[in-house]
Amino acid sequence: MNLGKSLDYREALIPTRLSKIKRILMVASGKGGVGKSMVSATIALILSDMRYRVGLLDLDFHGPSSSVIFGVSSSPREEREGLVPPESAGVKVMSIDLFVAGRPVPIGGEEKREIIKEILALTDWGELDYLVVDMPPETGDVLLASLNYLEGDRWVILVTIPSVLSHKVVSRLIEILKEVKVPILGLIENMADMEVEGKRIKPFMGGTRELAGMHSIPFLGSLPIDPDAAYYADNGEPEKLKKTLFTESLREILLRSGILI
Amino acid sequence: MHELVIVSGIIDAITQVAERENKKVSLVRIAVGELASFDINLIRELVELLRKGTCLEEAEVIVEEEGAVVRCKTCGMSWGFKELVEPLSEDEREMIHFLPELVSSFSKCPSCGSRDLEIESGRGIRVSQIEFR
Repeated sequence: MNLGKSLDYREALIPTRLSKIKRILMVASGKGGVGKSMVSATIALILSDMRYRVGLLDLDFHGPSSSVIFGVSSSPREEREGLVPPESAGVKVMSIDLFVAGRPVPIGGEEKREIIKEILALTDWGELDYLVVDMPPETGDVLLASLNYLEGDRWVILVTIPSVLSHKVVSRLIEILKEVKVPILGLIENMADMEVEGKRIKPFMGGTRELAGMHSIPFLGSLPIDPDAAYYADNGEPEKLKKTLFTESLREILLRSGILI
Repeated sequence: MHELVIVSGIIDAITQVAERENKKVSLVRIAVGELASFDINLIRELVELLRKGTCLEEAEVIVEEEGAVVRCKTCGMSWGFKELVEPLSEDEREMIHFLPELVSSFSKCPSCGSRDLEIESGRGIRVSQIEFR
């Protein structure tokens, strides 16, 4: 019986790893530039602050930012049981950037699938309450592969900005998620408004609540454009990021969402 | 060091296939890809240690190296471990040891300089053959 590539030990290891994780929260947007990574990282931070055991897995290979937001740069530690992710602000962070340290990652779909399998099989998260996953910013094969491997008590949190372009992409993503029967917790509207000279203005057209209604999924709430949060994220200061308007708004959304264990 | 968990995973995967087929395993061939720089003797030792009491206990197990072949998708040239990985620093080689696909982050085609590289063989560890009786 010549197996070729058909017997993959990683597919035996992945369910064992994920069985130690109570709940997987996959943060997806279908496209980049809408703040998906910022939302993922901040959710992880909020959950850690609530004393949950939390991991953050960054599957955005071309624009990994989790390690920057958490200010971690050390490579995962190689131990007998696998690769142990570095920790910051109580969150275990695993990202491709911890391996390449800012170098380009010029890889295609097949290579990304291999890396996802390798990371899921080899990362020793230990026991976790939550694994927050910053999903690939696409609606193609890499997203489907990620959904395929990330099995368990899993939920998708969708992020969009209130623009037609972002709404169109997230609509496609919702259709895909419904087809593969992955439960959607709801839709978050990011960059909804910002403060300019003491007044709150809405830089985009809005309509995200209506979009959620059109797809019969919950509208979870809106997040502001918050220059303080952006500054602390860029500088890898998660403890200060915790105390921003952005984090407070997201904390309220999480508490209302019913996702907490 | 994470070879232990990989060998355990291989034995689990083979056990699942043997149980599904409801047959005894007579031969297993494990290919150890050169690109991931595993210590093949350590893999052999771990297989010997961990197969006791499993469906592999009485099977013939062959652990063999699979040479790395990486093709440049721009100019079509193929390269091996010597050209692409050997010149790298120990830290860089270690990252490829964890994730062989990252060869294109650390190396370029020695002929045309492209990073559009594709691993044709020798990426990591795989079970290439199982025989039952």
